[in-house]
Amino acid sequence: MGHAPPPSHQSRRRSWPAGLLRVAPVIAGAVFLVFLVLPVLSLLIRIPPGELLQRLGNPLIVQALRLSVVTTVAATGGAILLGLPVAYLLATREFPGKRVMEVLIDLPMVIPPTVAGVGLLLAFGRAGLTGRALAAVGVTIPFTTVAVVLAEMFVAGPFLVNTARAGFEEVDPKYLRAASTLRASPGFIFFHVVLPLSLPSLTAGAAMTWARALGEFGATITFAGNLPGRTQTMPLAVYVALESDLNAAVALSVILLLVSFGLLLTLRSFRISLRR
Amino acid sequence: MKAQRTWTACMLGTAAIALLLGGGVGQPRAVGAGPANSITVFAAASLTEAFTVLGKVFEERNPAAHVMFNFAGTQQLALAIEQGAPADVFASADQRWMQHLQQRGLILGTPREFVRNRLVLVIPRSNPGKLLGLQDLARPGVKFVIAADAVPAGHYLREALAKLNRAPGLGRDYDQRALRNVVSEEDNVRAVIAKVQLGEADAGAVYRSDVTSMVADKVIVIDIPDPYNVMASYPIAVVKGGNSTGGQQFVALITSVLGQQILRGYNFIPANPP
Amino acid sequence: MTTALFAQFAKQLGGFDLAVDLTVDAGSTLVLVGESGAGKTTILSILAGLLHPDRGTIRLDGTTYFASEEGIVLPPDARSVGYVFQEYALFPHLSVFENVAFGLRAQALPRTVIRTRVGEMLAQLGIPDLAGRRPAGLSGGQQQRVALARALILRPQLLLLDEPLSALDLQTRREVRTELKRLLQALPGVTLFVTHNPFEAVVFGDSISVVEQGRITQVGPREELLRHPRSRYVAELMGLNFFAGRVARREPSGLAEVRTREGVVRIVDAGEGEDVFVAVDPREITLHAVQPSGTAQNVFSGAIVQLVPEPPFGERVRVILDTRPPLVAEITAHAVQTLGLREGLTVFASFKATAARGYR
Repeated sequence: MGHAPPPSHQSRRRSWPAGLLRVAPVIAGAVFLVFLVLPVLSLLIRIPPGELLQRLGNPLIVQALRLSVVTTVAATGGAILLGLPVAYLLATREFPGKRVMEVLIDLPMVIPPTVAGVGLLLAFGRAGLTGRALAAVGVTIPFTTVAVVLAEMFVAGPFLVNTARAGFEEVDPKYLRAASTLRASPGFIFFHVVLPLSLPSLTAGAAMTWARALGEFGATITFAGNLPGRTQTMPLAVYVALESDLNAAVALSVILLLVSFGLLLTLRSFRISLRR
Repeated sequence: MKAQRTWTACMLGTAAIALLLGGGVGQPRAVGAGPANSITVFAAASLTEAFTVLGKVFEERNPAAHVMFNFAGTQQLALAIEQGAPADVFASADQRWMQHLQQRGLILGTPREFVRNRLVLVIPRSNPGKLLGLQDLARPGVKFVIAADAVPAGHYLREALAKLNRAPGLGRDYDQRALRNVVSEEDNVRAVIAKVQLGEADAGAVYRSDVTSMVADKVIVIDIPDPYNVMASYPIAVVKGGNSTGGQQFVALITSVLGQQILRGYNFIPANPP
Repeated sequence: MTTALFAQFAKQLGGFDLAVDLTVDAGSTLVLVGESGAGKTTILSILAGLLHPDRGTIRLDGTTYFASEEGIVLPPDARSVGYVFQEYALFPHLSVFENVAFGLRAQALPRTVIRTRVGEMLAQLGIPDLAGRRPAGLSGGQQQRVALARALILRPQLLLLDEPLSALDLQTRREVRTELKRLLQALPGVTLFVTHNPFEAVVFGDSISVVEQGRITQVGPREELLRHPRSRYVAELMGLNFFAGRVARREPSGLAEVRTREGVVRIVDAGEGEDVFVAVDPREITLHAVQPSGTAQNVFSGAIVQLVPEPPFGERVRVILDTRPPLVAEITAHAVQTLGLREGLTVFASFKATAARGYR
């Protein structure tokens, strides 16, 4: 063994890169946080609460808000009804073409929303693939509130299917086996074992789906169109307001922000209370 | 001791970054519009085909120059310029939005009208709404797609509809009945014509110039008689704070005989002689 | 007695092929004993319907659960089977009451009926006060009773228990053992009890089935296994000394000299044939410090490898000897002291030929 190295300058040299490594992620995190928070903050600062309340009286805003709430609830509900069985199928069975099905379900999340809108138009539009069949039953979909719900379901549905599937897969199979030895049919097992045990994941999935539907724009404006009271949801109203009255646009944005925040907060605390 | 110093450094760093970002907010023009003789033209959506061709002509005549276009609804372009978007030339589909920018001191010199336009009604070739003329537009149940009021074409249309109330055989409340049939308000004319093309709308209101060769065989045009039609006036101007020389050169081409000929070829109506 | 369970099936598994032939009478308990991985749990899964064999037949009390020839495959919820899983698998999101009521709810029985029956079942198993509790807060012994209640309340004709005591600590295991034995004896149906513990096998089994590598190598009451173990594993399970060899020489007196791989043993053999199994009860082996002078025909010398006190109190000790052939003797702790036995000490082990049973 030689002498101990001279104290101060050698250890300082060695600790400098190490100190930087410790600091870098914190700075990166801070930058990212600022990046996320600043736009939200800018919106909130711009409009005084008094003016906000006053604008809430505007029938156009009320219409858009009501439409958003109604359609997103319907879309999330529809996604749950149709998506849960699919998620359960994917979680519990193997079958030919399963991989293809998984890719198809992921597709709406990946393609640009406007492209999705065009696709919906070409499929369900009056002149689209199913147009004639639907018209025969007296149904046209574009330019209706139903179209809004469909557009929202299309882009937000995959979120529900994927989180629900993950939730189902997390349920320990030993409970399923035990249940089937207790005279439980597959349906009974689903409602009394799988569903309760995967409820936290399901509510998280529903929250995400709802949030995505709430912010949906591209597919809606392309497939459902833009008409106040019938198809002009909050995001569309904000977009239209931007072209005439910036302050109105900001007000709408803040309202949408607060509503989304409230929804997500409620759902998260519901989820936490589930983990008794 | 060490941890405390690290933490202070982070906080200072974050504050610095926040200030930098926050300080960037405001009206000054965006930097970096392009290399030396690069000209950025913000033009109304209806000018897409005509201006693209004119841009190529300009580049042929001025080899060192490069023209970049941004085509969108006039209202979108105007608001973008107001927020500092880097345009050198602004070609608007109505006087309204040009005046909007003039009032805010964003225009260099005086705008000039360079073309005019007329509105027409278009219906899909298959005529799903079974429209035979203007009067059918007011028939209940017809799916009518128009541009939003903020869009020049949308605003013009509402004017024209009001005028049509005086036309014989259509009725005093023609505009109200027609507007009741509106199923969607798009944010640019191209979106309107797209919905008509796809056959989703029974009828749409667009500019005559929007019925391009690509579209002509898929739609049927119903003219609005001149006395009740609206003469859309398109002004063009150079935007302050950009490549003014290049911008003026481009405007010169647009208003030249050649420019006017090309525009006429695309179904625009030549400007009033100055 | 009427036959209740008849199961004959085969299934190809990862490491080996499972081939099973079981017949169990109603009201009796068959113990499946064997090493982990031998296939015992697989057999239970197949009987419950959670897995299906490649081919075979399973019949319980006249009802066919599985018949590959006829294409009959009954799903688990259609079988009259009760299953107590190794770690109980109690539903964590339900209370004890709801867990026990589960099977009855699945059959859509009226709520009043369910309440009565669950109450009776909980009382029968001595856990009525646990009704509102969640499984997470219960002790191992309590959980086991809940699992039993949950299965028994359905009055299954076939009860399957997968190592029901292995998750319990030794103290609880001892307490539970007698109770469980009494409970199982009172059941009218067929009980299959899986364990890797030979002591439990002997306690619970009216008959014992030894499972080795997917095959049942021996089945019978415990006396049979004790007297005539058919493989080294069974013998070791029963704690016997086991030899397999060929008769080298016979004497008119009935004595036979058997040559095994590890050494020569003299037995009394009345049978025919050269190949023979020999079992020697460890208690028949006597240990001596010096060469014994008695009449024992088998005398071996070797070092003590290990001294293992026998549970529960260690008053009997197993002595593992490095003799040729290797032997295990069982003597009293007192004898260990008297002889001054310790590991490494060379001793003499002897046993009579009459103690060495030969069988085929």
